[in-house]
Amino acid sequence: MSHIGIDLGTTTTLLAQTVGGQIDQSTMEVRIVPIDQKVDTGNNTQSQGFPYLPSLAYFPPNEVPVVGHHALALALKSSMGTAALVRAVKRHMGRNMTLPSPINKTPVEISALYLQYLLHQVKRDNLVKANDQITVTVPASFSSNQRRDTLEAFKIAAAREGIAIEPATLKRLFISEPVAALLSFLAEDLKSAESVRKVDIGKNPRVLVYDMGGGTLDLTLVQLGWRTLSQPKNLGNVEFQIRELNRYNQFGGEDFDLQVGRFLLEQLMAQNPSLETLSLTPSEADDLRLRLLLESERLKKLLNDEIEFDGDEASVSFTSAAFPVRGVDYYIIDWPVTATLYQQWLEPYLIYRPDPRNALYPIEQILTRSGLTRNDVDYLLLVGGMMRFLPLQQAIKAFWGREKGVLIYGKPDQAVAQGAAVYSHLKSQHPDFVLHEPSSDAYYVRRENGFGLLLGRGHNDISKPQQYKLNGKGSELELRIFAGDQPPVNGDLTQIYPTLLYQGRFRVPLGKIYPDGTKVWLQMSYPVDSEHKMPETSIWIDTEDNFIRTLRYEELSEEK
Amino acid sequence: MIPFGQVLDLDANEFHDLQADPNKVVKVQGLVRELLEGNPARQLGIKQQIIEDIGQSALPGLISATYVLVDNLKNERQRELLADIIYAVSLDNPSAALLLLKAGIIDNPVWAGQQIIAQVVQRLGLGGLAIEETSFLLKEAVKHAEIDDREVAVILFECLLPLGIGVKEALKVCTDWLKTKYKIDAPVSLISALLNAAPEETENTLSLLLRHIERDNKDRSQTFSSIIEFTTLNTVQGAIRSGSQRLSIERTGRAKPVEFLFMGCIARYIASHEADIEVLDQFINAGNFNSGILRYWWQALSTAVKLKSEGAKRNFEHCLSHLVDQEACLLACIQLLYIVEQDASTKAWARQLLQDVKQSNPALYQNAVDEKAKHKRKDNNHEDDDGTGLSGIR
Repeated sequence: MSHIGIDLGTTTTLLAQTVGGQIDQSTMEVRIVPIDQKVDTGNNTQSQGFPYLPSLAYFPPNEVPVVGHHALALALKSSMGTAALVRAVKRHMGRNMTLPSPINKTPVEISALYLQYLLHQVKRDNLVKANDQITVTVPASFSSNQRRDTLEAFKIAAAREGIAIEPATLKRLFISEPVAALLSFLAEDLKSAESVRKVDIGKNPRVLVYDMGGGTLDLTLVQLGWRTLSQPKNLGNVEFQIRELNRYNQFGGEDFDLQVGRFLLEQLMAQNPSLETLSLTPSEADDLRLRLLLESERLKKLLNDEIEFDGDEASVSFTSAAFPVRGVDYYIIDWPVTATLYQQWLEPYLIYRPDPRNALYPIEQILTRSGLTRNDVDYLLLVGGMMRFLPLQQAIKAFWGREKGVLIYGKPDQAVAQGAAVYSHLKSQHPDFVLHEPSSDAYYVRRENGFGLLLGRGHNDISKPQQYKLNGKGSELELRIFAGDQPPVNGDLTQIYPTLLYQGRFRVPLGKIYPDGTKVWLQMSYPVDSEHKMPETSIWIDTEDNFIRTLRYEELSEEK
Repeated sequence: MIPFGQVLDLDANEFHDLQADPNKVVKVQGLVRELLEGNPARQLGIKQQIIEDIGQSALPGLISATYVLVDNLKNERQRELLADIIYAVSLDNPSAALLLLKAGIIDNPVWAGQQIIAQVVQRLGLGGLAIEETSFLLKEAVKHAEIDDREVAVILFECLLPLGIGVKEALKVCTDWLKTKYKIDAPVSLISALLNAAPEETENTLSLLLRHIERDNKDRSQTFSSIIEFTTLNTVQGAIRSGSQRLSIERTGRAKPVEFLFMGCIARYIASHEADIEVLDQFINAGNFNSGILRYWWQALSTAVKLKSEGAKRNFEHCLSHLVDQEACLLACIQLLYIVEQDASTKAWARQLLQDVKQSNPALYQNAVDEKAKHKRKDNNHEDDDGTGLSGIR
């Protein structure tokens, strides 16, 4: 029996699988499944296994789309430039948009391509059998719209591969990325003898999971404990009380690369002055932008390797790949970059400043949100692909103020996928093992003057029935929904207005036409048997006793 | 085209929605709230911070602020302050216009927010949009007209029509709206934009609108005269042609649409386009219009005099010194008599002109006095519709 975990990341997508054994006996292993991808070998292409699938899709004209490493290779060679290449589409999930021509696809359709690619291999290699569990990770801070879109992408991918998924599996398909990483860490830690374990669950510790990937910085504060002291002290017996999350923060490796890219661009122009007066078409600019980001990432890796050996004394002499501009190849040649200089470029992100696009400020935000200080937190677990980047690790440790309790996952970029596989296993072995997280956002509805609270952040929250009136006769009620901070204790909703983000115009179908002025009551709640954090809506008409139906979140139609 | 050194500066506006960088949106919204609550010195500081430090990438947050903070806008000055900041960060940003239209108007769930953005878009213009972008906006305009989201449809057409885009579609939308019994504000706004973009094509639809106003609800004329603003001579001539064909010029009564057309829209136009007065005077005298139109023309000139138009004064002086057209002279004198009674600021000028007429042509003067008195009696007796065609003159 094996179970599958998928980390659908902004820049990379990983597939993990549990192998043999039982969690209870600590004999279970989790491996990262190599993902077969085409690579160019001069005259032809061959298939090769990679530990991850770059979350890239290329749309060649009149041909089927290509994903992963091969997508990037084809796009860089294409005469059309990179306009047909999509990257970081996860940042667009939940948004009512179609990517521009020549792509003309929604974020859901593109995410489905990545998932389908993985599921194809899962099916081909018989990695799962009927009733085995699959888990897909999402940022803890993903909104209901983002979760809805990810679920939709998964359903499309599974249907295309002919993989039947039980409704019960779908209801527990997701796990949040930081919690998955923590599961993975604990699964390993609990294999050790109790005396050498890094985390002492018996002391009910608070763990702050700091997960920075390619596109998202996701923080979750968890309190751990044993569910029952009479049961064996294994992962299935760990209680995860998820205390706090931060709000959705699109800040990750991509932003670091973009910041370094600005200095690369400056250097490219300094070494090739004729470029300074040039103006580019939007597609030429897109192409140059992608190449700058790729080179920026390469420089980051080169320097990171040097820092590992030489610390702050590290330096590299950087020669870039070609930047083709209108038929001419331009280069950066022998550019000396020191670790100190590099860190100076990244100062806006690595030195504390009160800005969400700063690696340290969100730590303070989540602690403030939960009413704690750094000293109240026992462990800081650092995970995510960006934790391979040593200057970031150093900055976080310095800000945290103490070495003790700072945990760094061995392969931080694989922790999330592995944790997802572990969760699949747990769902199968321990059906009563349930993770209930609060939502990162409360939901509000626009009223004639101001906003009304629709649903709080707590998993068990149920809103009070809210009354609406049909404006004109009709068979549906239109709601304009916003996500924002939890309402303040004093009840003054105007305080949270600046935190509100528009989620869309939703139509609630009523089943038949009702006259103008008909009173409608709505009540929202998170379904008890689901971990999606997509609220259900119950509807009453005329009087609260006249119940009509309960709608799933996906059944509310968003105006396109 | 994008300068080579700025290829990495494209950020939040790339995909034309507000969720590209939610954190920045929340940050900007926080600043906007501080701005609205701050004293003038603090407001200046925040304004500078948004425009200079955050710059173009503040735009999504500013648009989003029109969704969530409009209830905090206490007065027109605050609305203008917000509009000014949005305008400043949108200048020199090729993505701004489309983002403003899509996120600020089409998707904006708050009417008051749409109005703020519409004001910014009007100032910016849409000159830089690509063909596929204007096609998209036109489709949206028609779609919103069909689903009865009239405010959005009108704003989009108002932006597209000056570019010569959407005339056919707007005319159809306007005609469809006029056939329904909904509020007339939307077709009036749309026809105003149409008249200025395509005056000749709009004449028939304008006629429909005028008839609609006259037939269904006289009070709506107020809306008509306050919203429609002519900006070209062609539009005024088109409106006169339409009015002459469609309106009951001879029918008397107060608050007639034809009065609002002339005393409202045309008077305002000639007060600010003095060079066109002579052309319009010739146009009305030479055209085969209903003779009643001439009375309304003098009424418009009289209103323009009250609006301090020197050109309108000269038209009175020219007419009465040359005495070419007896009817025109009679109508001019009647209007002068009203000015003496009603308008303190120009009564000395009117009195002097009447004095000159009295001396040079006493019969004309007496005729004007008699006609005015006749008219006044009817007014006092509340005889609004006696068939003389004079009760509308004020």
